[in-house]
Amino acid sequence: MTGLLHERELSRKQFLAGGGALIVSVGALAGSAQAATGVTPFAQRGAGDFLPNLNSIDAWLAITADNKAIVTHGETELGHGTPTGILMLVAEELDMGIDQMIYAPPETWLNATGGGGGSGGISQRSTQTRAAAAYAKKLLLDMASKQLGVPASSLTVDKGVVSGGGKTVTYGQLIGGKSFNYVMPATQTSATPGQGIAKPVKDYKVVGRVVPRIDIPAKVMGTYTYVHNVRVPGMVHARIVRPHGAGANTSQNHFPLSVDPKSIAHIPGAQIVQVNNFLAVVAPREYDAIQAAAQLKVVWKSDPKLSGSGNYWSWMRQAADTNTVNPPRYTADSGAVPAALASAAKTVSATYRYHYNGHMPIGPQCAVADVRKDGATVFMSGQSINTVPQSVSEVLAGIGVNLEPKSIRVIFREGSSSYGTGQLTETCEAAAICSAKVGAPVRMQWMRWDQHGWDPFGPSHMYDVTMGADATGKIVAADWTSYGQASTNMDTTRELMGIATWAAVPGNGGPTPSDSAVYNLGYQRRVLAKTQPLYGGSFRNSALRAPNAPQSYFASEQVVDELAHALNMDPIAFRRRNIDGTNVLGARWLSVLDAATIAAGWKPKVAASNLQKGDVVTGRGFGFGTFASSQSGVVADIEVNKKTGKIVVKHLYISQNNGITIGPDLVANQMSGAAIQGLSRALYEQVTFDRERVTSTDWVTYPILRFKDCPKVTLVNVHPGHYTVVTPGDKTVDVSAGNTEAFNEGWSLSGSGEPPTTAVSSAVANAFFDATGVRIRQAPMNPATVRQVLKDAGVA
Amino acid sequence: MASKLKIKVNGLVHSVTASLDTPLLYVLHNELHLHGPRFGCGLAQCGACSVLLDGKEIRSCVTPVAAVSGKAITTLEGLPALWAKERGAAASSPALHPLQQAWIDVQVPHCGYCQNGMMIQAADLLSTTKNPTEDQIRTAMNGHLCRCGTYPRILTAIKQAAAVMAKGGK
Repeated sequence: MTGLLHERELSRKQFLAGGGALIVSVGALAGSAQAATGVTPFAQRGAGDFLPNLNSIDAWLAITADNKAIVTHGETELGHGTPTGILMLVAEELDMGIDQMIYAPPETWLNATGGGGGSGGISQRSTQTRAAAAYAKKLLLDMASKQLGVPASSLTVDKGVVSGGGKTVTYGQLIGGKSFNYVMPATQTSATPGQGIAKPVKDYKVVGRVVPRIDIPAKVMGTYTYVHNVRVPGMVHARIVRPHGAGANTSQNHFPLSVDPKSIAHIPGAQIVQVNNFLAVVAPREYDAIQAAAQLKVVWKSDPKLSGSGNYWSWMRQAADTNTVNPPRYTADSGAVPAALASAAKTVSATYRYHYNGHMPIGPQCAVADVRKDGATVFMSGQSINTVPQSVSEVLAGIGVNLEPKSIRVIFREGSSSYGTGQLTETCEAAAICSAKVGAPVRMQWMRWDQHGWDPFGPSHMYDVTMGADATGKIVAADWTSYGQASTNMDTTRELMGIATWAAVPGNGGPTPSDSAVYNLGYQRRVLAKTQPLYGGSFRNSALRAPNAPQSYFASEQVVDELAHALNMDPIAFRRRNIDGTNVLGARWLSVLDAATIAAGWKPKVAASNLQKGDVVTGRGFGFGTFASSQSGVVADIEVNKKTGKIVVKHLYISQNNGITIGPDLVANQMSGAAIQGLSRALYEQVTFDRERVTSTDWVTYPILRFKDCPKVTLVNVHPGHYTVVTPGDKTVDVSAGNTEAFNEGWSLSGSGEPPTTAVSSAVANAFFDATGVRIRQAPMNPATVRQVLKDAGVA
Repeated sequence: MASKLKIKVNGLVHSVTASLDTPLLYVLHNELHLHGPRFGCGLAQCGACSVLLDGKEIRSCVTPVAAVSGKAITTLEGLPALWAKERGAAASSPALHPLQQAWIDVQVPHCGYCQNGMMIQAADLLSTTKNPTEDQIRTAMNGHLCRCGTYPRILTAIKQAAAVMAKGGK
């Protein structure tokens, strides 16, 4: 037994065996892998060679002799059902059944197309997959035509069986186990339904049906292998040792002043791994590693550079206003804003704030690494695995272990709640360092405080805005000042090792307000972007589900609501007045506006025009949001207890237009989850910190939405000419409103996992105003915030 | 110091070696290779690690292995056999507990990491409350966290399983 080296060959054999007799000879492994996947064989790869030729059909799929299709799209399962959706697309174009599709889990030696990450998993990669499958079918029909002596145009295909002239031949008989060796024309490597080679939507048989997800049965039975469950021979356990919460971004502010090895001398087999300021412990037994991390005596450098949560907003404003490294700058300025505002019938000026949120998966990061003289194997979860061989190679070089990227095999296993990049690569690197140092395969898992306390957060945003409209309700100008930070996702493992430092000149921040994405009628608009300093008060951040959009829509969809109120207009009528429904984008916005409000039975009225007496009051609000080219509208029905400050959301009516829906149930599940996660962020989630470091390090100090506070959800997925109400029940509502026919032709297929996340917070905030007559303007809208704004308004 | 212990898991008695204060979770995962219960927080806050101890849901991440001696542990993997036993059925176990079947029918999971605890807690609830109201379900499940936002489908699945069990159970 040679551990993973043995397992490598085994898994390669198993993979290539696939669902049938794809590969015949173990001796021809490299060439066979190429035949199966189009990937340059491992042995021939250079350092940067982790992407195959994506114009090659063989990069995307292979046909087995027993007439199945192995889909090597390389899409990672992140809990969103994307691989199932991709299999449906391929089955559709090939005219095969979903039961003939085999999903090849991503790994860098066998298929390295690397997926499309989270947001782009469908919207970006589907067109390439569709093109590859469509070309594959074309080639297969040409082969069948020759073999059967029947013109290709007279052939029909069902379940991969080609029929014509009274004869049949299967795809497997035509090409099973062989390479297509076909490179698609560079201009034709993505395909839109009904255009060029791709099947038109009206002929779809698989896409649009409810197909169960391929991963769910194992997840329900306890047989699914998460990265946390990977076990290799001789594996030992590691834990990272850091203070329980990150401090402010500075250069090297977390370092251990002293480490006392004697403090863990009593723990069997415990070892310390220290590389400069990188500190970890390793032990044969997992609980011993946990105990070693807990008991190791370390004196940490004290470096109190943060403002503290309570002073954060005033710090952000002051620090960004006076930032000379990245001074304020206009990112949009039509020049006529002051004049337009002066002529407006009504204007609204307000400030909106949205705090730092975290990824906070239920299962903390985990990776398994086996670093040997001749190569390494890493099991990881994450969105794009292709970059990891290079990353691990660089980190190992930092401790004098030289392995080329091509000798580092990275195998994907699903992690937990993957809604962004999180700390995935740095966990692999930490595992690899420990493995190299102790000479054994290492399973590195974060503890809860490592996850909560060191998350690269979704950044906080603050906006000052003045918006004006004329007497007819048309927006005439918006004047924004936006506060925020540049993307600063420093790899903490590298930083602690001392092989990377924070950028000397931090980039510009100051986020982009979202109003112009929706209200596309060309009003005067100005945006002054201000950047909070990278050092001394900010946290590192990275992509968190619908990056930056929940924050920006929280502001833009409240200010338009405030303006509607100032004009004595129904907020839906006001929005409709400001959307150009004659273009495709405007039509898509109107489609989700109609869908959500029809589902909710929206009755036009001026917000807060019928305030109730008593401590517990109810309200209804609407908000838009978009991400990954899909639009969403949310109607929220809420209850506010003015005494306790608690908001309970009773019902969300959620609409989404994601173009073509591959799997209605896949999309419905994502719409619901996106709205609920967005609601959790809007109501409860806030990273807290003192002067020194993050103090929200578990589920008590960083609460998320629980069962008792979960609203009912009604989901409406928009299609041309009708909307499908998915929950409750499965029914289709035919409506003629919304001008959805405007985009009936040339449909694209856009992301379905994020949009409601961006719409829900403003819907709740607007409902709060409807219920109380008071604007909240700050997230999280937790009881403390609610009590404060009511008190400030003299209402409670 | 590591000790030799016997623990009863999913109907079988296993000999394991662990220090007495080792939380049950690590024994189940690393010694018995059971992947149902999962590490989430180590603080009994999230419920990803839940198992049944003599039929009641506990958090295996904070329960010392010594504390389960002489008691019966059921993990997610043991739910089908538990259901067979509750029905008084013959030796052959169904492939799935009605809760697991409902979880598949309703397509509950996203990442699925927390769903172990959800099904374990629901099994505890349905063993004492045959036809729970929605409020009873929400109250029973309130200590289990899901980051993906699957709560609405969990409610649907528990109601479906309760109906099946009320018909098929004794």
